[in-house]
Amino acid sequence: MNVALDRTLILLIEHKEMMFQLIDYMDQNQRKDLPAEVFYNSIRAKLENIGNKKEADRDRLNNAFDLGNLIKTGIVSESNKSRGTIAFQPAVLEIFRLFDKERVRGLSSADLENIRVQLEGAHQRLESLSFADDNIDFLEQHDQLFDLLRRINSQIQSNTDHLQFEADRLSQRLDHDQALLSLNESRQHREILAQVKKIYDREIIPTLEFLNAREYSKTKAPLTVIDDISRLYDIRGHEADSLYIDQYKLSILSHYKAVEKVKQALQRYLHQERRHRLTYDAIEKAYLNLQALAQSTFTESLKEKYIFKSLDSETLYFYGLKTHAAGQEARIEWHDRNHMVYFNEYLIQQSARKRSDSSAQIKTFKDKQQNDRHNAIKRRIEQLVKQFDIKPPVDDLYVVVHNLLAEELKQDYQLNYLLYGVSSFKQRYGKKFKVQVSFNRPQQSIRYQNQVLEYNKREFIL
Amino acid sequence: MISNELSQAIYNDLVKGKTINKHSYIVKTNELEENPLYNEVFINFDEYRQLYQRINFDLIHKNSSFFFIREINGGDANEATIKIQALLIIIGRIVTEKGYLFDVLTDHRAGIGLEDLSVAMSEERYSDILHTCKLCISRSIEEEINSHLIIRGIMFKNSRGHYVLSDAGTAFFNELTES
Repeated sequence: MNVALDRTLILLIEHKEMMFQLIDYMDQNQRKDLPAEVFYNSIRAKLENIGNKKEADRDRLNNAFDLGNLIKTGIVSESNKSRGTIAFQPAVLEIFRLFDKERVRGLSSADLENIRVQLEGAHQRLESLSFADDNIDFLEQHDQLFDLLRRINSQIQSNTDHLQFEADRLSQRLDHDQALLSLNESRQHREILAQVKKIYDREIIPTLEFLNAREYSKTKAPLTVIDDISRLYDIRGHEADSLYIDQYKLSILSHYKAVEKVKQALQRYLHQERRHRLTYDAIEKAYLNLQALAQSTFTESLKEKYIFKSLDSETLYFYGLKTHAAGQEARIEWHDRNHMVYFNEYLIQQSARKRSDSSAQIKTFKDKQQNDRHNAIKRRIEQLVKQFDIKPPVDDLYVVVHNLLAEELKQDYQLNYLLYGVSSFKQRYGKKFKVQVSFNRPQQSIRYQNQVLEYNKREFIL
Repeated sequence: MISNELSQAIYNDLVKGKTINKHSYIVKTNELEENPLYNEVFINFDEYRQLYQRINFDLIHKNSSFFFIREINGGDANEATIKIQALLIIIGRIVTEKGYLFDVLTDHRAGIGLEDLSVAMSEERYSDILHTCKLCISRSIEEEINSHLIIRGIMFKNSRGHYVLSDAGTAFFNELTES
């Protein structure tokens, strides 16, 4: 069933989001037509959304959006079955673009060049004609010229709106993404910077050149051509029309400042983009150089397969940086202990063992030699711990044993004996009472004669 | 006037092949702060330079952003510096090749995770280069980055556990771009 053009257009406008999707598809894929499949899928999705409840609505839309009906009403101007594509009437698409600033198209470099050529053509044709009021050719060219000027004025206006909108949109996104906290955000940021560059190079600069009233080096600036046409009208006695043409020129030229502002707004992002591009190029160059060096080593003998000889040391950025004992550093950092204490303890054990070898032959030990307690100081510590009358609760066992040993051993006392003292204490009283360890940070510390012992506090409780 | 306390800390770092950066990263606040060691050397540069010259080292101030020492008349093999340079170039390449913004590597709040680096570096094209630089042969990439870049102060790990270029690391890429 056929639906009239006005009804079909009204229905399309009522459901403009569907048309927006199709326009977006064409813009994203940079084409003027679209695959019929995409069109059918959009219609299908639209109809499914309406559902069965509003059957009358669905039928109405189905009839209106039927491809046959759209062709008949002229909304679809081209349907190529062999290629499977359809194309909407450009004027229809322009109407929908006007509904949403985001979808207003800018003028590309090619569009602007096309306008310039049209203006030059109009000028040449008018120059060869007589400006008589009964000359039909002149009257036709005259109408054509004013249509063209009106169209240029409107296109430049839309183009300025589009550029301002795009600049705002991209700036907002770039400023919002300033904190590049994730890799994906950073990738998006870079893509937006690339869009800025594209708009700058392909739309802003050509527009500014188009609006520049000065001469081009090879071709005439479009506004100069309009000036020439105006002068032609003036010379040939059409002052009113000449004035009208001048007004069009001024109206077109008035967009220069607005576009210049957009250019300035985007320039800082452009600078950012340039900086990134230079960094990327430099890294790529350095990487390829490194790769080439690595590959050149593959053909040599195994012994020489490392690239160290191929690089000139003077060109290395960190040339001369001291070779670092990383292993040693790592080990020191890995153990969160005071190694001085452990090392001293080790020396005590070693010297005690040496002494024990000689004292083992002394008969006073008889047949009951002590296992590991040959160190005189250690024996004294054991004795002190044994004699020490301590009752729970004790808040910090280390402090108590430290005070005891420091007082009794006097100048013989070193901080590393404290570990042995606490250990003896635990052996002696551990079964009877309870020792509770608390792992608080920072650890407790005892400082004695330039030595520091860091430890986890041990509470002595019942 | 040279501070005894700071000069000991400076010597301790420089002699171990570490760089002294203009800024140091504070994990607790996730912020960069001025490095007192850098300021100390910067203010008393002539004295420090003389001091290190007497013990056969050149005190180098690079790109106005970090210090390190170099043995006068060479002495140290350049193997370590090639390793550092190769690691930095490959990390930079991974970031740019994946289409990320390079600022990810220099922003102390962002950085690149070990997982992203490990996956990329396991690719043959990168591992081939690393092997010819005697890297990642018996050690993991994390160990290599730690021992060549983190300990030397060319990169640091931020509070998210991501790797970020320090002043020294950033200066390397700046010079690469300008050259």
